[in-house]
Amino acid sequence: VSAEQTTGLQDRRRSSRADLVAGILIACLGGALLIGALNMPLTGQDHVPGPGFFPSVLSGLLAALGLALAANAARSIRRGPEYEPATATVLDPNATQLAPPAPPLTKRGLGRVLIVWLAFAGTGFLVGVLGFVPAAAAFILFLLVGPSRRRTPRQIVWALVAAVVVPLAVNYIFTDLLSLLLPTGRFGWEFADVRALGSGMLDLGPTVA
Amino acid sequence: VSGPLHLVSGLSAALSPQNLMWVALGVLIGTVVGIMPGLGSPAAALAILLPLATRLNPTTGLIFMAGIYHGAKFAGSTGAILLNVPAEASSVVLCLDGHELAKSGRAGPALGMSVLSGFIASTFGVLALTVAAPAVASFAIDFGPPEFFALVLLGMLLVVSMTGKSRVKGFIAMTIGFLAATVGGDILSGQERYTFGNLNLYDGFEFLPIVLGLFAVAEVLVRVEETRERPVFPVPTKLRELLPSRADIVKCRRAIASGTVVGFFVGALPGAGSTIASFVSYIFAKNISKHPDEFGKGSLEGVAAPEAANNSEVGGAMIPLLSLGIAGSSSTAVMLAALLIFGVQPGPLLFTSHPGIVWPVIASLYLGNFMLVVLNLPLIPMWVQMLKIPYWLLYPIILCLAIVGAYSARQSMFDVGLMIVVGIIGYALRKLEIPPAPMLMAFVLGPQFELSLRQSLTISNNNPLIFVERPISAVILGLGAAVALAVSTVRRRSAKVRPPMSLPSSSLTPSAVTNRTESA
Repeated sequence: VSAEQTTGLQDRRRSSRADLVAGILIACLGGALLIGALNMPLTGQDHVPGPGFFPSVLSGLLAALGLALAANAARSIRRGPEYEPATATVLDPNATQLAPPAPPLTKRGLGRVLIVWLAFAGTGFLVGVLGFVPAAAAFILFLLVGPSRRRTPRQIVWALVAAVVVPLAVNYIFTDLLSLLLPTGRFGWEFADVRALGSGMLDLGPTVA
Repeated sequence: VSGPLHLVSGLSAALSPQNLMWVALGVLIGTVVGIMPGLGSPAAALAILLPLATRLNPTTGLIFMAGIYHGAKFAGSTGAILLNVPAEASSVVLCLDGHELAKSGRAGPALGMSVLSGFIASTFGVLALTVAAPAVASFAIDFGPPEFFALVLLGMLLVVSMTGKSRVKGFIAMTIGFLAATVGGDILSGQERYTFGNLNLYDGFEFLPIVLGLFAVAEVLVRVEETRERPVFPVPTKLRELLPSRADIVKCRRAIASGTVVGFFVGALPGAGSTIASFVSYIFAKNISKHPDEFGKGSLEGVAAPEAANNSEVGGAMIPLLSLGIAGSSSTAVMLAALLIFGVQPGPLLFTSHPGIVWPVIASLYLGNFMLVVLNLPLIPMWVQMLKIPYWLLYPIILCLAIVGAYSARQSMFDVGLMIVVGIIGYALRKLEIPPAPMLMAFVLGPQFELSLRQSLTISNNNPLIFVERPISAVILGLGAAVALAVSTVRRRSAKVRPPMSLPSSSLTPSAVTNRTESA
């Protein structure tokens, strides 16, 4: 067994464990939704299917599918990793090596994902407080010099430029040109020409939606 | 009045200066958004730009979206050929021969051939759509709730059985999508479902936060995790070097023709989509080619056939979307959502109730492709420069645009939060290889699917046999069962052929790619 195949087997083992956990979680979610669905009227007037009918069927199905996923994963863990028939491609079994293999999930990779997502979530909150432009500027500045570790003076200058220009440009395009509203936050800081609101510089016809 | 005549009047309506500007803008923006790493799939590009499109009047907005769709598709093939990175599942096949050609210094003809065969195929696709869509619509005019239920079920069965590694995971995705669609007040009784008393949820989940989280944000997170820079191959800078030679075109004519026809018919199946179309056409072209041995080693035919299928599929996919109101892929799901936002309900009645919208839109599909040839072919050297923009500079901008998109639907910070949460869930689902496409389709089709189910059971006095007693619905369901059975047989057989452990299991098989970036 080559080194490459060994790594492959380790990935498979890890993905089976992930499937097991995911299957159990999905089954629990299905169960919880089923309880919720059973509290809705199952039938309406004259015994026609009511609002609870479709959610009950679906959440029951979801719970069953979660259990099936967990059971499959448990079986593949018990039997040891092996080639799973399901990986065969429907249309061309020979076309296997189309793209480079996906790198396995590393701690560093996951760390980067979490940092970016937490910053994104924080920005979502800040947008509501400060408004779009300051929050987006802070977000861009943080991402460009924070996790990416690009800190030569030149790169920091570029990051500063991007952090100022991008939010203002987005704000201008969406608010002034398209007369869409962007969040202005608790303090109501406007970065747009408010007179343009409602008319929009491009004639877009009547607003739908 | 016959279809072609309508098409001409639609074309003349679409040809207004304003519409022309928007279709050109759509093609350009679609290409830019599609070529940026991380927003490769047309569905994500469409979703990011949906707030903009919904500001326009319905016809112009839909024409704009058709342009974006074409631009993003074109960008997908550029990335596949030059970077060996299939931005969307349907350009996976293009990597096989397109990238080999690029490596051997023939990137120009490969790109040129992909645009040319795409244009020929799209012409056929739109013409065939013009004839077929009204015919299907008039056939479907008597469809009742059971038939609609059966059609959606067929589409879901197809998409689940053909995309992704595991059917269990595909069905999980579908079920979650349907359940997400039930959130909010019940349409028939007004009963609140899964709202937890939250006023923001009374109208259900808004479409944009869901699709932006599931596609744009999740895709960014996946890309942030893998930090690999990819080399770009030298590309000719003169237009003449891009054009395939006459000999190339003659050699590829059978591949283009077969790809076009295969793509159209596969695309017309709800749920099959461009991924299947491109794969099937590639294998078909290889079988009828005079040089099958060149396939996989850099054959222009191997570029022409899947790209033709990829483009005529657009015409095919519009048949279930416009005449039946069924979205067969993530991209058409976004299109369907756009139609609904505009207050246009696609279905058998669309052609009679909204001819002023539907025909210009069909015509604009063609116009979009024409613009693609006129605008993008000369600009290829510029697009290639864009491929070099580093990702670390792009993804903060993509995320900012996602916030704008989520907020814009109804000026709600709740929706921004929803998108952020859906984003991390979407990332986890991708790592678990649970495909997002069935989820999005189920979410969009969910309300009507449930309505048709409940109406059917009301008609039949709660007798589920109504679905097999009505002949058309029985045929549709039988077709679905047959396809699902056939696919599982092929899967089992192809699994037996391969010896165990013949490849590292982490290698990205086409199905695995489908799973990761399903977007067709």
